[in-house]
Amino acid sequence: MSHAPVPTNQDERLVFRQLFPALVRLDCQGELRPALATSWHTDSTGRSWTFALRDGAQFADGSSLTARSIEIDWSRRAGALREAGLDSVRVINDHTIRLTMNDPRDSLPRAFADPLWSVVSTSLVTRMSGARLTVSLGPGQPILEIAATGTGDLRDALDAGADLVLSGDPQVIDYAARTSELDSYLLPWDRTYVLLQHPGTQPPTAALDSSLKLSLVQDVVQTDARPSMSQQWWNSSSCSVEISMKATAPTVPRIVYQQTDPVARKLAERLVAIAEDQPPLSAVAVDPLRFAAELERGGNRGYILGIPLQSASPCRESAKWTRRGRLYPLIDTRQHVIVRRGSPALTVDWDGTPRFLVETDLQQETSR
Amino acid sequence: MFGAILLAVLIPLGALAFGVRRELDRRLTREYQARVEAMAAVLESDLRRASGLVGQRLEAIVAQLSKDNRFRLAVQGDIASRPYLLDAAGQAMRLSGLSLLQIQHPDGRILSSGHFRNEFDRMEPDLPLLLESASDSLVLLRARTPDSSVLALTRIDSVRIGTRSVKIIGGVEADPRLLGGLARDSSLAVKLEYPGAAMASIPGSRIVRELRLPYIDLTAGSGVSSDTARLLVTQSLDALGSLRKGVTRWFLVALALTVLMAVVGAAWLSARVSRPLRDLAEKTTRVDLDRLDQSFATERSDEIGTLSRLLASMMERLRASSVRVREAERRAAVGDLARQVNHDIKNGLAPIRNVLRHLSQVLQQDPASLPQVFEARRGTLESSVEYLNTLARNYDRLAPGIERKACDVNAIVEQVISNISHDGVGIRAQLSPHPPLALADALVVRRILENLVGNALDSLSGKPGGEVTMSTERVGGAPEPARVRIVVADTGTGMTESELNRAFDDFYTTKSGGTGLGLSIVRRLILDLEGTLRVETQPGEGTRVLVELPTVPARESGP
Repeated sequence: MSHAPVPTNQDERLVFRQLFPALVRLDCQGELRPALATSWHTDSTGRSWTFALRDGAQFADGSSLTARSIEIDWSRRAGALREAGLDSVRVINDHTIRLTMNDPRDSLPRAFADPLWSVVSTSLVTRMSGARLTVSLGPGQPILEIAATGTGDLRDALDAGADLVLSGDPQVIDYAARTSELDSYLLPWDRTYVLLQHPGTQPPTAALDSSLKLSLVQDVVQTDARPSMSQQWWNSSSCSVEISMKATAPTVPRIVYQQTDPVARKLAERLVAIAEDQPPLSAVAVDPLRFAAELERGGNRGYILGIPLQSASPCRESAKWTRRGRLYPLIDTRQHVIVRRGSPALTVDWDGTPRFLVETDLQQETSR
Repeated sequence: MFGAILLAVLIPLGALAFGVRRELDRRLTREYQARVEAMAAVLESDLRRASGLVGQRLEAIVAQLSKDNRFRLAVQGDIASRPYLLDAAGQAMRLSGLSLLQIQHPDGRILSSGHFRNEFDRMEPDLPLLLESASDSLVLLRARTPDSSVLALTRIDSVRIGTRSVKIIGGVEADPRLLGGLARDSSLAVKLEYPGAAMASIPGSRIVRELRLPYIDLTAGSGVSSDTARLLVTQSLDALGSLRKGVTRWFLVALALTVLMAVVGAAWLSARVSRPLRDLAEKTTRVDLDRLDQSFATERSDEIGTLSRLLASMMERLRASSVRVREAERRAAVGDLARQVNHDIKNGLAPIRNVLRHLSQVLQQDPASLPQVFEARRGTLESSVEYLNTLARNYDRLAPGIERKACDVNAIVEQVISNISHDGVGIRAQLSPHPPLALADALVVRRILENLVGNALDSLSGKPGGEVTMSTERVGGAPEPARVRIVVADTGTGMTESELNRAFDDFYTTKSGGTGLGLSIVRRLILDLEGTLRVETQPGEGTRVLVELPTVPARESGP
């Protein structure tokens, strides 16, 4: 199955971040930083934005990256980008590109740091097989393999020479700490696990309070977690999200989670254990590829899902979830990045995604 | 025969099939009964063994936990040891090979659950009490898991931590594999039936034994409910059914073979018995006196052979008899001829004798008139000699031919009357003045009339005053051909009906010294002349004999 060139989960974001640069990026403090573009300006309407591209920009495979490459890639993803507000793309010259948005923007949208606006090399093929994502230059030439979390033991991956591992598993972190050639760094809180319920449905337990959240953190998830904050980006008032509160009565007494997400499984099981429902609920795992369809179809008592704690385009992201029902935040999680000593320098973006620093980044970092 | 053969074979065969099936049923049932008893004993011992196994494992877990300080601290509320406690049941369960393990605080709170790790802190105070009340025996427990439920044969144990008695509940899964292990017999199966489970009976099987187990359901939601589960030993009826089907099938095969053999046998027997009988019958119908050449010869040694030989010997006797009959016929015919010759000669000689007697009478009484008398009777002598001469010519030819030509019947009648001796008896002639000429042989007509008149005169003997009348007349005419009728009537004794019926048979006579050939010769001669003969008679009153002869066609007849 050829994967759609839009990152949908943490692992794919990690891959995107390594392989496909965006015009700008947000650092771990949320500051806007140059990336592919070195400078930008807008016209008086606030709709048209012109970017000057970095000299000598390249894709991960070494091919040159120009304004023309951006136009070609984005025309492939025109539907998704138009939904995100893009009206048109115009190549001024190899190093200059002008984007026209649907709506006027006061300042440079932070959304351009979202992986959606990355520039994807047409020569790179990403392929999902089982729980393993392979990036290759063409058929049979993999240049990067990513094992999805929850499959196998990540310590085996480290033993096999993996340069970068993301994990919240205490066993893996402990193993890395005991191994001299591996360094372990704590990443920012990057993910919130929520209970999603269709409109008109009561939570399975009345006590979705801080003491429950604490219990989930301490006794249940067995990963680096904290009780979730009450205020989340998806219910910030700046987004005028239209939530269709069409009530759908749940018919199946079960809480659904993604099979590959162990944290979601534990949360679902705990909710099932303490639920006051009659008949009792059950926790049911579904294939990640079928999860979205299950969510769309509705009819279940609830869903456990992990969504990014940060979003470069919160209004678009929040619309994705909130239109399906109500989100009850449960816990925030974060991961450790384990890096082999001698690997390139690493930086962490605003959304907690680590990224190997390329030369230009280093120059920019030092210039700051 | 075919039906009889079929019946003779089918009835014993049916009885055999019925007997075999019945005996089979009886024996199999007895055997199954024994196996079911053994099975039930094995099942009970297996359950005891499973109970002992669960007990041993619980004991091992209890021994291990009682030595475990982190567990002890966690039970007593140490926060740092809490994650260890939460995972303790899961680890112990996996290590001990149990399918269900639950550690419960004395107050009923679940401290740790192996089959549902995140079920901790839920209150379930009734479960330990129910399990303890079942003492040593196994309890079938339906417990929740995150995504479904587990059905386990369960026991309870406890570990003492300080002053607290912590309950350890463990069990092995009552899955089809375990139940299959309990039933070590291909035709017997163990099925677990408990409230809420499908109670549908297994098709093609019957329940032969049941064992009861206490049953606790934790998944019902409304608290802990206690009930009874049943371990059912079911017997598959497939084997018995297929055995019965097999017997039936072979019976049907035997039946088909029997019918086939009966058909073939009947056909063979038919060929062997029926056909020769039919052949014999056909030969017998062809046998008559003219065809005595049918051969009944055979070489068979059975009943048909005997019958054929009997028929052959009968044919032999028939052939011999036939030869004798023909010889008798031949002799009779020769005698008949001789008598006819004798009779005819006597008739021819009688007028001559009369003339000679008359002449000698004249010679003695009136010799002078002898020449006149002789001259007068000379015609009689000559005609008699001519008659004899013709007779001699005819007999010389042995087949006296008939020469039919026009002849005057009146003249013949007169001649007969004048020739015949009728002492004292009146013979009256009533002759038609112009009778047509008959187409006949005059000699033959004379023989006919002489015979008839002779018989008439004979019937008058001993009856004085009797009379014989001879008459001629013409009968018929256009459109029928005209015929001449000659009637000889007498007033004699007449004949009865039976006498009349036999009057024309050969050798039948009522006279002493008669040959019995006269009337039969008359009838034959009339037939030769293509004439007809009718007799009218009344016993005691007389007889009328009517002879009709064809006439000469018109152009031949004279005036």
